[in-house]
Amino acid sequence: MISSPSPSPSPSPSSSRTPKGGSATPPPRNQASKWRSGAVRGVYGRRLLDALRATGGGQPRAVKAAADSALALTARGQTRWSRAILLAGAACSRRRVLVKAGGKVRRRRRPPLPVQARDNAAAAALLKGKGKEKDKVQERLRVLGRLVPGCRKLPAPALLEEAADYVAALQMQVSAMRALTDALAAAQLSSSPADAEAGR
Amino acid sequence: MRHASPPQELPAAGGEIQAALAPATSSSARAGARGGGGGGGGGGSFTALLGLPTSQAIELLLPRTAPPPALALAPAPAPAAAPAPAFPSDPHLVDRAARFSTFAPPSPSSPSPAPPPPPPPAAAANAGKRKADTVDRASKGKAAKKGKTAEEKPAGGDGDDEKPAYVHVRARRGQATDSHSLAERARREKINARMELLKELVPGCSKVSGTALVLDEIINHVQSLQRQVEYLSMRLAAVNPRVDFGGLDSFLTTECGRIAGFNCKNGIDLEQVTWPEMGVHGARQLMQLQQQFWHGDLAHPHQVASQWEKRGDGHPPVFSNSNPSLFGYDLTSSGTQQTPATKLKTEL
Repeated sequence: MISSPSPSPSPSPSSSRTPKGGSATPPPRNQASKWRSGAVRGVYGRRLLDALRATGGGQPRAVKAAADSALALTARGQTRWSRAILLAGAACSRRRVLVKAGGKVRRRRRPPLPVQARDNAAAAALLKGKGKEKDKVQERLRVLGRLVPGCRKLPAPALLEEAADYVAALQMQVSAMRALTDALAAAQLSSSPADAEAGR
Repeated sequence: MRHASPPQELPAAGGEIQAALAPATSSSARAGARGGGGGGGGGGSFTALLGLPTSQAIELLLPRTAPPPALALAPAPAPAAAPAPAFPSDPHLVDRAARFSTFAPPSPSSPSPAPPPPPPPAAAANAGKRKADTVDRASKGKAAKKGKTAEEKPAGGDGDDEKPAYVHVRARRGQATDSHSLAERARREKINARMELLKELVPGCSKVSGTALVLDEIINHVQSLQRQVEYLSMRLAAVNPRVDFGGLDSFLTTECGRIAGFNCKNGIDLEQVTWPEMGVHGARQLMQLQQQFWHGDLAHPHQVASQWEKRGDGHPPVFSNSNPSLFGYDLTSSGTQQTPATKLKTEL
């Protein structure tokens, strides 16, 4: 399903000629197959279980954080969003301490935008749309960058690639968590009543 | 129909053509083993030659006799020999014609399907006829490309095709070919490829056209997925405090086994790198706790547990403790089964 029929993005010598903004152009991988394999589901499931055991009590926020961290771990840090999640989780306690100390760490806004990235994003969106549509596209790309963790100021092709991987990972996470909750509910149903009622 | 018999030089007289023609046809008749089409094609093109003014025909004939006689003419031009401008059907003639630039304009356009296949083999047969190759590619490329003159095309074509260090972008019909637009087009194609991937991933995007709407759909999908994750985590948190986690492993495996259809053993082999100790020892606990909590009712966990037992024994306890800081685990006290066992029991 890896579709790059045109010869331009595929051959490796193309990296030497890439103009401004674009890094080497690897062919876009198919993330759906990577995240849909049964092995990955098993890996994530076990990690999720361990994370759940570690959470102290039923707090949805802790559970969600654990699930996201497990997902990012399963991604093996190859994608930007996974690294962002892991770093955010790891630095959370430290950041809390710092914020308590004096509000020193403010990660919400980064005033000094890297100019090059902004130009890249603008140029990329400019190419995509013709005429007045390009600002709509640009706006949506920005929104997408906010949704995907760690991809706020990313040029369009990298952002789209991260978004594809993130969507595939999220789908896997949702299905795994749903299966887990169903299994848990079933086990709970079977185990909580007394001996008389047979579960399942 | 290339024959060794005709003389090297031909005086500009029609009689010579006849003389050349006679042995040509005879030799082509003799060489009928090559296919009646070849002989017929040979005769046909010669006949077409006769339709030309003599001087030009001689001109064309002259260098043709120079090359080695072992030029194999494809029988394909034979049927194309029927129409009026029949000599372009002769691919070799097309070479010469293009080289002399006399018939360059009409020749590539009219028999556009026929010459492209034959010229490469014919040109390749010409040892050292480099110019003919480039002109062939030029004439061939003229049908494909537009906006390039015949002079610059060989150089441009070579530049596009044969410089290994550059982006191999074929300029499409009707598009500019300067470096800026090429780069922009490459970038656009990159972005379009990623968009295609995303469209396939997100359900319901294929019928939407237009980048903005597709991006809308993608954003909605991501938001809905994130909301589902939050909802499911809330449900999990509600269910969590009352269930033992030792028994979950088999449930999860069953689910994964049913859904994904893979064996436990395979799963373990794949995740050897960051397999926490807890999981494997949890399997042992599973065996112990099963009778307590599940009343031995479920057939699946027994099977699964037996598999786990086998696997747990054969599996050396070599685990990298890369996770502990993340999940608040303390796996430093490893090696003994007692600690996880007590930990599990205290959790319960």
